[in-house]
Amino acid sequence: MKTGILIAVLIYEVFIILGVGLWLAKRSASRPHQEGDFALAGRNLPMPVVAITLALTVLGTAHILGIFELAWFLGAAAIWFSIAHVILLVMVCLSTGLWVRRLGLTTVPEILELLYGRITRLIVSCTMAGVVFGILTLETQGIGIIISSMTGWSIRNGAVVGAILGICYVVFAGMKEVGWLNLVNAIVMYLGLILATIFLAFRLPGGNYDSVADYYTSSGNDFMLSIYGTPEIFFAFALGTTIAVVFSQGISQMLMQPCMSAESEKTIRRALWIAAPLNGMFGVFAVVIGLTAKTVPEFAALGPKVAATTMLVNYLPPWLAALLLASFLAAILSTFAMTSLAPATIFTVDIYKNLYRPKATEADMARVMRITIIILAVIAMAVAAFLPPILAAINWLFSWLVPVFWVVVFGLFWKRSSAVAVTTLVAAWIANSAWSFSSLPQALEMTDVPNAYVTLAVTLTVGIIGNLMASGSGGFFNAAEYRAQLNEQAAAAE
Amino acid sequence: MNKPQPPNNQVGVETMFWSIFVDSLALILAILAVGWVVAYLIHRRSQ
Repeated sequence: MKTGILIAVLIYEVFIILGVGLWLAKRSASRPHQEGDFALAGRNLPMPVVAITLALTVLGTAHILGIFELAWFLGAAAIWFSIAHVILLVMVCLSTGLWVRRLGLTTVPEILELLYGRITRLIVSCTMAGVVFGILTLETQGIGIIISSMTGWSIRNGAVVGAILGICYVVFAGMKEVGWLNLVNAIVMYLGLILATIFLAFRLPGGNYDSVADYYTSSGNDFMLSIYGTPEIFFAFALGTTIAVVFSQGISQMLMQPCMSAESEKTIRRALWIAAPLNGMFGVFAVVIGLTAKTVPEFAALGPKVAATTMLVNYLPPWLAALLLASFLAAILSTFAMTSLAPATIFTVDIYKNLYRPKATEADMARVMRITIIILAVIAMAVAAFLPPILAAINWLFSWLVPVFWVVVFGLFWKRSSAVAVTTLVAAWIANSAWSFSSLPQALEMTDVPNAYVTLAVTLTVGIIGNLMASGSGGFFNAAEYRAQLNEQAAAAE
Repeated sequence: MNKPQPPNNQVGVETMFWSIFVDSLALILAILAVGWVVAYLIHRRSQ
């Protein structure tokens, strides 16, 4: 057990969480509370904070532990998990993120009410909150694995300690605390990664990565050193992951909330140039560490799940191992924070305020959000130790949001028919569940086809045919009410 | 556990790490450029 490393990591986390919290409290003491302060940071987050929050919101367990594990089987092509998120960030910062900011929304389900009415909003609220909560349970498992690798504790005990830190991360100051903490953690993480790559090379035979390259070329696996892998890996993994990530996360509350919190649309557009490279280049370091762990027999014997983290703890100087693991933990905690804040916001705005307390004040809503965050985190802690493999679960969870993305796109640009929207959502969700929990894939001899392809095919088929056949009003962006809203905003700006 | 050894072939460090680094950076910049151009063209058309 590396007690010293654990203590250093915990001190780092507590110090920056309290430090940033106190600094923000002092900074905001002089001004009155605004609408959306807790959930949306008063809609005035500056560009660097929006950029780094976008980059780190989708950089969590799957990025770190998932890429370490994938590199074991796919080699450098595992970086396509990161590249898929670069494409996702391009789409968010240049389209969906701008739309939700322009419409002045607080939650994604609100856009569903705007396009299709209240019933669709409620259906999507429940589903989206459930999906993001599912991702929260996976993040809690990831925190448990990281702490377990440092201490030898069970994953469940590690998850409890991590979840308590995660609650502290978000519950004090909400979106603003998450955003500014991410800025500090991103700097520490990249510093740790660069130093770890250098120190790791000096611990290898020859003091460089030649032995790693030799291992793969001498075993006839030189394709594992290329980010493009083989054509089979490219089409099955790279393309499949890109489709799953882009169409499921493109409209998720997790990524939309930082966009809704931005100062302006220009802030989001400019944030892309920092967010995309920051997220994408992380994969380079993760892939190199994952590839290296497999070539050292004593770590290879531990298997793909824990080889890389154990290698880092054993090979790096204790101070650097502590810095790197603290930054990994911080990256997972930032995803934990957003995945607890997002369903809490949906519950408070779309269920609590929309159905039960229309006159709820900002203080009432902040209190309900804090209580919801704590309840969700406690449930996530309880189930973290019983979860399926991280990437398999993410594949199923992400696919729930694929039809939501397309239903929003149809409604904004083409046609608004509530019946078609609900039919499309339900058909895609049934297909997703049938693909995971029935023998349908075996019966069709399509066991290699991921859930995202199936839900995408059902969504496009039902949505396009339904909209061609059914009547409905035109796309929202062509409607008079949207032009009136734009005119109002322009008048208010003047 | 392997003992630390003095570096004797710095070219190797550059070969593996830097090839993954440079390929990835070039790909990310290409994606950003394509995304920006597509968004610009769509924006210009909608004006």
